Amino acid sequence: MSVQEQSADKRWYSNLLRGLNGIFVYLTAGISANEFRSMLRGTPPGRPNTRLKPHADAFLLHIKPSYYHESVTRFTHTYRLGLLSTYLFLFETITGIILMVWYAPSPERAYVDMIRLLSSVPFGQIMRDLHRIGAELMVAIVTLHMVRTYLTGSYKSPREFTWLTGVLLLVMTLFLSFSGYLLPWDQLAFWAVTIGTSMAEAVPPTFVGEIINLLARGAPDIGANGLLRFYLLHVLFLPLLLFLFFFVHYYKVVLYGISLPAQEEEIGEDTANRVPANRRVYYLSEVLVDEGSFLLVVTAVITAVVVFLFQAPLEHIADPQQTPFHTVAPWYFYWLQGLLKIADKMWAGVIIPGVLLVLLMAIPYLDRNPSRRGADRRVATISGVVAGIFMVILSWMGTPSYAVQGAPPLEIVQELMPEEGVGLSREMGYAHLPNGVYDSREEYEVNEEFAELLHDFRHALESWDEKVDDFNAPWGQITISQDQDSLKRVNWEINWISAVGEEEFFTQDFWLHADSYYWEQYGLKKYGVPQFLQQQNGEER
Amino acid sequence: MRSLYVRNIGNKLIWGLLASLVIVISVGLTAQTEDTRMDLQTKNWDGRSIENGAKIFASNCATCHGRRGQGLPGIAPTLNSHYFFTRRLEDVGQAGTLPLATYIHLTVAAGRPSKENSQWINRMVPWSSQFGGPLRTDQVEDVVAYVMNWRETAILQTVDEDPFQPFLDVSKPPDLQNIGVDPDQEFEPAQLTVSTVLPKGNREPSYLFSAMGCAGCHNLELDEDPRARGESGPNMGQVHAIVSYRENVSDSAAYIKESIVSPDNSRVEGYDDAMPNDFAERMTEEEIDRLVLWLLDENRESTPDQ
Amino acid sequence: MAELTPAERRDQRIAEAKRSVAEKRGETFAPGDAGASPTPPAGPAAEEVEELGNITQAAGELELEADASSTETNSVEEVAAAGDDNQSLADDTSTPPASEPIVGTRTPVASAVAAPAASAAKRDNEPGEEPKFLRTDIRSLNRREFLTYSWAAAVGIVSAQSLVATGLLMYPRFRAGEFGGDFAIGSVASLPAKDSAPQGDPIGKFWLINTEEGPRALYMVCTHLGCLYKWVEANRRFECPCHGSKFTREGIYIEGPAPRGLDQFVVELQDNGTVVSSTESLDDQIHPPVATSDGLEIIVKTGTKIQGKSHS
Repeated sequence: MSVQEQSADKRWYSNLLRGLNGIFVYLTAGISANEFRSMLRGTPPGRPNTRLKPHADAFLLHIKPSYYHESVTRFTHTYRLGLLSTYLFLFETITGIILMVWYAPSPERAYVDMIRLLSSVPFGQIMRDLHRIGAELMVAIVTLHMVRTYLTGSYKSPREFTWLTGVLLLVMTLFLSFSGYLLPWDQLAFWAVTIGTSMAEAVPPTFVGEIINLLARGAPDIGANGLLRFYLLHVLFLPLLLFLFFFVHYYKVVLYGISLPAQEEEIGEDTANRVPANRRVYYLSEVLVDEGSFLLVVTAVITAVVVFLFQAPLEHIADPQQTPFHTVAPWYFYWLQGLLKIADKMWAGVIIPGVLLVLLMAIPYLDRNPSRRGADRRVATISGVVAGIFMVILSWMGTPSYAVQGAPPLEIVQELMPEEGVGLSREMGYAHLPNGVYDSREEYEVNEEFAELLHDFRHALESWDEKVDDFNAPWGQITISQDQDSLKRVNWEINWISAVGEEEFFTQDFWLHADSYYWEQYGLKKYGVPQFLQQQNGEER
Repeated sequence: MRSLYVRNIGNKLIWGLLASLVIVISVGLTAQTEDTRMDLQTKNWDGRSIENGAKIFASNCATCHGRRGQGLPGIAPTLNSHYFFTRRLEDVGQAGTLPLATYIHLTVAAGRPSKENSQWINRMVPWSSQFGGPLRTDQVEDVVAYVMNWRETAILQTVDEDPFQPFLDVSKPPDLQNIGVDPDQEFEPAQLTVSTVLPKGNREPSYLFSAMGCAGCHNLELDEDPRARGESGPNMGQVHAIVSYRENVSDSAAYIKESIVSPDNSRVEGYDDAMPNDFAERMTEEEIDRLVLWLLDENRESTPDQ
Repeated sequence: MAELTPAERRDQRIAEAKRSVAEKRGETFAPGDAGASPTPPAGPAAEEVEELGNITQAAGELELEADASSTETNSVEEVAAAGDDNQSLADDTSTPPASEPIVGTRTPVASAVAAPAASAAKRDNEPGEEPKFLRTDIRSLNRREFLTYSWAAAVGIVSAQSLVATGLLMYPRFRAGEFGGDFAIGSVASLPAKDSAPQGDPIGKFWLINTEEGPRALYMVCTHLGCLYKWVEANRRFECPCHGSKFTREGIYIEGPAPRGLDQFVVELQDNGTVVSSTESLDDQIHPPVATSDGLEIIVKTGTKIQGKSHS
């Protein structure tokens, strides 16, 4: 009598269940339904532990360790920053690919495509905002990941090379984010990238810099070729490179394990492979759920911020003929811009950043201190903090508030009605700008919002009068006239007496349309857009 | 210190569930307002296009077509006009083949060549970089959006309000009942109150001042002083006393003549080089002399003849 | 070994495996007896299982009766294999065949106690064994398991929602005046005469005709292979230059290889945005909208096409 006959006696559903279980085992790469449920219920695994089978058999899981040391799973040890960086890279890849559907990298189309994405593609705006905020966040998180690694001394033996690849990943993240800057083809994009690439020009000797610049831009200045090259860098080359280095980095992370808190691990201990059985936290399902929930929370925060708060700016179309007042690089290059203000382009743009980069990569090889404990590495910690403070100061020097000062009248108008962006005048909206001539020396019966604008105007005139010698006894005049149906012209006029006693005069015109919404203006997006528009433009319309 | 790690997976699961709920609600709310948002964005970007167009118009087109699109007799046709929005397309034989916006776009982009016996002294130059002009295609579109934005108010103009200036290229007249012409009447250019182009030689200075386009930039009534300078060219209100307010001028007549004949030599600071340098070819010497005398006449009529 | 057939070899392997399991449990393995005459398991194991049976019965009443009953069915079905249909659950578990994995199962309570070295999971995978989807200890959901399922479902919902949003993002939309969108072509009063030649709209890709019934918009493309047919004034009909299909002015098939009459776009008559009448497909015929007043606006919806009448 064979077993085959015995099973043939069984009812059909018995066979069905057996078959289903087979499929389940097949899909989970080795975990039966019973064992799976036991796992979810928190029952400890049996011996041998079949829950580890997928880590050997399945590709995606074989990349992950099957268990971690309990101490490294504490949230406050790693803050999950490495995981978060990886996730953001994935997040950017997905949102980026979706955005590519509505984008063509040519100067004729890029900006038009952005407007179409914003105005006639459902979820187009939210997708763009997600991609944008993800990119900025990724730079921040990767940097914080590095700071954490530095402060816990986790770069020490045997993880020196992991650190080195990590620094390279940071550089690639910066370039990836920066190369995406140009793609909307607006003024912000164009001039930020012009400034960025002109730094490459400073590479000595001169002809090398020129060659690099020509290779990056595809022409002496940024145009169709430059846009295409930055696009290819952004969507193909840099992501692939980053992907490659990510796996080198991650392989090392798995190979040596995540470093334990300094108290629990001596330099050179093989923690990944020698975790005591009672301190193991298994990836399935505890760490998986932990990581999944963490990423869900982060995604929820990003989504909520994008839906209710954040708006990726889109300025005027790129105009190679006109640089907007107070053009800046992205915030993560403020420090470089600050450096450029105090030093020569070759030193600040190439030599100092290059030396810093090499130093950063070499930290594990320079730091021969055998201990990872905070008490033993005060010098390293303090120098790290000092470097951080220096970075912050340099970044502040990179903002327009330091050492870039236009003529006072230009600054005043820029503050209230900037060339790019919003300013108070546009924020209060079309309907709150009453037609008429308003002299800063007189009082007017006007609506509250406009009264505030006049007050700010007067205040700006006075404060610049005090600040600058060449700007005396200023008075200004705002002339608002109806240029067309639902289009107002706002004329700013500022008169002052120069240091040598001559009368000086400045005037600038702006136009404001009733429907212009200046989306990036509202710090807090009001839910239910129509009411907001009413509020913005007043009840007159 | 040990084990801040919470082994309780249940709490983490609940966090994950709450986060999912937040995502679903956020995206769901977005889905609710997408249509409204897209409408508003469409209007927003149309509005911004008009704003950009206004800026370009003011710095490039207003010189000839007037700051408010009212045109300049003899120089450039009126745009902010009932006629322009209702009849113009028909008169150039393009009704039904293109929309007015496209017609304007073509004109701005490629210009309009001057014709023999046209009342327009200057030729409309091509503005699009496609045809050698200074504006990009998107800027041309912005200008078109700005010009088209006059439509709302222009079609409400009455006969008297319409600053209509007839086009001599109109071969067959429109029924101009709205612009003061009897529709039943046979059309003749002479009937229109337009200055026909006079032959070169003995034209009146006041006629020349408008026909040559001077009036586009130079105001005859206002004074030129640091507070209220002309927008595109110096004001001519007190030009007879030019010696008093311009330091480098000793002989006013010679200075003005020099300015007309070769403006590059006597450019006034603060103005771009918009003044054409071909007046010597377009007027006879005698005409220029009379124009200079007329300008320096303290008692001249301030508005030029039409 | 070389003489054995594949079936025999398989049987041998199975027998081998069963022997090893039985040895681990300290039982004697009788090949051939396994299916025919099940022997009750050794005493201590039976007692333990009896106790488990009681616990599971109680659990089965609590939650997830469906799951629990399916487990019971599962058990009963094994009993049926042993030749007795009417045994109670307790009896059933107490008299399984020697190969039953149920012997070694654990309850949440007993998990620490029972659990012989060979875990249930391992035996699940053994050939010839009965798969147990629901071991007695996991008949009900505990909080953590329930939460995990909800968590997975939530992740699924979030992904599905993102997928839908992405789909909407990628789905092209058409503005008015763009092929695929709506074309406003004036009021009813401005329609051409009812017997005049069709008016072509190259952007909207339709021929507009006015008929006694009402206006129609014929899709400019032949229903045969997609050529652009032409209006031949001499014959007062549409003729396709490619393969000679012919259609009347109203788009009705006359002759040629075309499989059906011309496709038509839906024409809507609107009064200040409200649809008064529109093209409808009834009884295999396309009925144009009825113009009730001259002031109605005509909208041709080039995104909505009705197929012509098939003649085969």
